[in-house]
Amino acid sequence: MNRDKNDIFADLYKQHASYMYGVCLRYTKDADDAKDVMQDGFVKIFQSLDTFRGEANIKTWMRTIMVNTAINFYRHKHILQLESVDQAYTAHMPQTDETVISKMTTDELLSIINLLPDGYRLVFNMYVIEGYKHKEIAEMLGITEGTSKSQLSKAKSYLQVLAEEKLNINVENVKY
Amino acid sequence: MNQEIKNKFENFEPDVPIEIWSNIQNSILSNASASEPFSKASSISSGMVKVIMGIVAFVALVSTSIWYLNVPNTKETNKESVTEIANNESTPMPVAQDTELQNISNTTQNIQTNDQPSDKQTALTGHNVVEIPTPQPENKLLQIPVDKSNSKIVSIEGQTETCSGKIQLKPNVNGGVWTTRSAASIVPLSNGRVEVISSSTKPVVVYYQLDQNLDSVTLTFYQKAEKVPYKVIDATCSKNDGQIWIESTSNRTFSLFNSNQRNSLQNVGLGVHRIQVVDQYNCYYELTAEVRQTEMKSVISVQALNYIVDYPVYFKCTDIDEQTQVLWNFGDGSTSSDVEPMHRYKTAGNFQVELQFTKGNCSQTVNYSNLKIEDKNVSFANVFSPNNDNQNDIFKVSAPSNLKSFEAKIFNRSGQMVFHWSDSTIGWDGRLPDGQDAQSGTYYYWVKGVDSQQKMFEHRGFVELVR
Repeated sequence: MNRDKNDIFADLYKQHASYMYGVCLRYTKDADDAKDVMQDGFVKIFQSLDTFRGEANIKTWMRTIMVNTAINFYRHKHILQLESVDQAYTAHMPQTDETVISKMTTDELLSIINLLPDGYRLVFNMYVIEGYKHKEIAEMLGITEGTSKSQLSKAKSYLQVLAEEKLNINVENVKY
Repeated sequence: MNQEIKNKFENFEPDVPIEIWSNIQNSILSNASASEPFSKASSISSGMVKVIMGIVAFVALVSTSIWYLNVPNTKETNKESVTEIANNESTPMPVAQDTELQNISNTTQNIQTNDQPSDKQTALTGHNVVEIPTPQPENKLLQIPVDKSNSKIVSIEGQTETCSGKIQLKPNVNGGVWTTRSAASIVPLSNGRVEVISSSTKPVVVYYQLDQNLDSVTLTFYQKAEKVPYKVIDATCSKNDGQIWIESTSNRTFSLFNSNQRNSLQNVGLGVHRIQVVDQYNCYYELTAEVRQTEMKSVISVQALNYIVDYPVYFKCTDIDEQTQVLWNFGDGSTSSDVEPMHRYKTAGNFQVELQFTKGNCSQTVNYSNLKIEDKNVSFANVFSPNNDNQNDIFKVSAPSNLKSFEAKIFNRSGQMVFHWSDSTIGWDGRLPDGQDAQSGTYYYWVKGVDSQQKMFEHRGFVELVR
């Protein structure tokens, strides 16, 4: 009986579950999807543990698996239709006031990221937070580099609108 | 902007739903028994997986509640409640507080005691070096528990208390050995029972080894935060009713939504309130908040054509709505509960007007001082009938004699002056400058002068002409 791998896995989970769950929440539209991605991701991590050779930081390695799982999750659901999403929000693109975003707490920011269309959210997360280049994103998602760029800029604009709405709502609800 | 957003998520570590771990273990188990390597696992979705065996989560995520008790406003009661809180907080925990550190050192220790030194690989986790052995190729997937029957070896005993950090386990088959590699301590009790104590909020895996059979229980302990993780950010009793705003100062939440770190209590009224907050782990905290009168920003405005005895004075106040109950005290002993009342003073003097708002349990008072009401030095009839019946045929000012100066004007409705005179002994007979009779109706008068005591007066108003 091999208890070692399981123990390592349990320890990895113990140490990194919170962070990984945070990653999942960013890439998904709600907690239910996040749980699914988290589960799939950790099962993959368990199965790939043998292949991890220590070249990379294990946290980064785990996160990469998590991100790939999230991408597959949406590709699998056939809802990653980047081009069609594209046209829906091209109409009104406001000038961005970036200070709005910086005023938000992480939780507030997360709640509006969750509202982004799936394609926007993926590209936004991959570029802005994970730091992938457009070329890499294009390869991973099977889209062109141009699409990746336009997705990102639209994601930001859309996020801006959501952020402003969100802050306005808060101002209404919370009277100081 | 990119860097800022990235930073926000750098240390974003939300609480993980406890069922995920058990679901993962089940997925791994079912994969191990089925020969398909991954397709099955990936199709498992969280809602559908039932916890099958061996894994017991004893803390249910409890949605939240906040409630409060209004305490009579005495300081002694406050002190007592504070002491209670202090006692609760100082309950000693036998496990080291720095669980993060302990977890890491545990990991290192576990791996170093493995007897596969040649296969070790080094990897960085965070800032700590952790060695991870490469598993042997012939190793099969680990199965925990070994078979389903083993899940009956261990059971949780008694009432589980959330937020205590303790749980008792009972072996259903005697003779086994309890172990854990998690940040928890196992205290033996009678008949093979043990108490598992942890100060970590991370899942704790406890093993029970019975001959060749191994059973494991995953327990998740939730701890009361060391400091009360909430603070009162606002407690006001304005005309908008008493309310207390509470904010979470940690990642503990007390509502169903993660993003909602604030909550409010409404209609609480004045005084000291004890607020009990339950976080998502069902841990209790107590806060106190005193709701006091806040400075009123509302302003009374007073309007009148003449601040003179018997003349109407109109009162208003900003920011009153229909739900607000008001009580005006005009300072001369009379009151009104109209929102915008009119009052005629019967005597001259300086009056202090007071307005009391009441809404819900809050009431507040706002003042208007020095409302100066003067005696009539001149008086008018407010109606006259120029029909030569010798009764009120002339609109005249009844003024005391020997005025220093006098001037009076009459205007019609369209604002044209129709008559004016500067001798107080005469008046208007209701005729226009061209000698025609003025029509019946309302006219506006304006009278100005200086009386015998060098006091200026100025009156404006309406007079009704009736034929």
